[in-house]
Amino acid sequence: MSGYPDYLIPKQNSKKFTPEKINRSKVGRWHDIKDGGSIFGGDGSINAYLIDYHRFPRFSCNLIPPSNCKDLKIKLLNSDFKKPFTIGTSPPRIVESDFEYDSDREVIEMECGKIQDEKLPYTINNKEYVLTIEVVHSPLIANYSHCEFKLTASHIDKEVEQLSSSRKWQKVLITALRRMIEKYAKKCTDC
Amino acid sequence: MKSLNKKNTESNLNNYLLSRFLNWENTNTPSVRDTLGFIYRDWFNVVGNIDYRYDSPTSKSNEGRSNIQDHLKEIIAQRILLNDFKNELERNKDSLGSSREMYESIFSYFSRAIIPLKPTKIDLKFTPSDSIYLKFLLDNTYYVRIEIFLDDLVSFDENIIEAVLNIDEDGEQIFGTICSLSEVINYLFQEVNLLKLSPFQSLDTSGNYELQSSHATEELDTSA
Repeated sequence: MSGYPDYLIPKQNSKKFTPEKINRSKVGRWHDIKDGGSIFGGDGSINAYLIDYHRFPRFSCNLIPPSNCKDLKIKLLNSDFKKPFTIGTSPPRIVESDFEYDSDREVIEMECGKIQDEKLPYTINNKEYVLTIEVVHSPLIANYSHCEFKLTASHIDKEVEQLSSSRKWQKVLITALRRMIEKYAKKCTDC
Repeated sequence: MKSLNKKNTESNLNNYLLSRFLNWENTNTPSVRDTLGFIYRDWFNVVGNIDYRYDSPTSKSNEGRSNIQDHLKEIIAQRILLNDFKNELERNKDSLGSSREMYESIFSYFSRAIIPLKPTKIDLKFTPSDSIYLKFLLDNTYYVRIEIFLDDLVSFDENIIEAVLNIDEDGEQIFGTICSLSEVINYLFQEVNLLKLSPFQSLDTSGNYELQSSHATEELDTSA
């Protein structure tokens, strides 16, 4: 096993990614084939229904570059490394026993520019609304490239803090997000 | 030339095709979808023979052919849906628990309601989010997605169960809403089936459209 990728470890003087850089990049997300099977349909489609809605609204992902698809197969064994990184603090030291590569993970990627431009339509009580996505940099202690979705739903005109299936409009948003992933996600070709 | 009784011919054809289909299901072929081309080839061969025996196709024989084709589409859709459902029951047998009855009720409803629309490219899945997801193509144009979240349901009632309905055309969403399962089906029959789809059109929940139960779906065996 090779060492932990250096570019994933935040530096003390690391800065947050600018919106412009994010917009030019892709985001990658892993799926474990043990969770319902392969996310890749036989005809090149994406089986987005396999994405557990509990992954939303933040939809944790890696910015590519600096990360790459292979990084998304890294499974951190020390949960402390999954905590948010505070810019300006000392970087962690990660040894080989802190992580492993998980071969059951499949990786999809999406172009940030496309998903940030997309206005996902949804209807509640016969009124039309749109859901928008912003990809924001949210570095973790052992993953500088980590990003999250920030969703804004027009019917509440603010960020969606959580999504569950217990509220009608949240069910609609869950399916809108899955549909967006079906539309834009592609199989990562690098890993 | 011995005249053919149209009704009997259709009945024989249907029996023949159904038996071919069921025979095929007993073989080791991995997927129902793999046989679609085969089944259609069979069908065209049979219909071709009928046309030959009639010597010249008449409007009557064309009508009969159309009826057979519609029925065949329903049979195929039914078998794919049933096959998917059985696969999903098997795949989730350790986690379904008491939800199984609910899944079966929803599947039964889907079968009765969706099959008469003659969907193609059917895909039915149980998601990791405790929901049942059905995707299919109508008229080779409209991708329909229906998802039902089961976590707060205690009994099956198509007028109470909420379903999220999304319809895409050429990769663009042209309709998306949440309503009761019966409203979803009414909508599909009123709008999609009549090809009068309007973006984000309000649902007409007056219930003017009665669902047509397909005789092909009445004998569904939902046991795993």
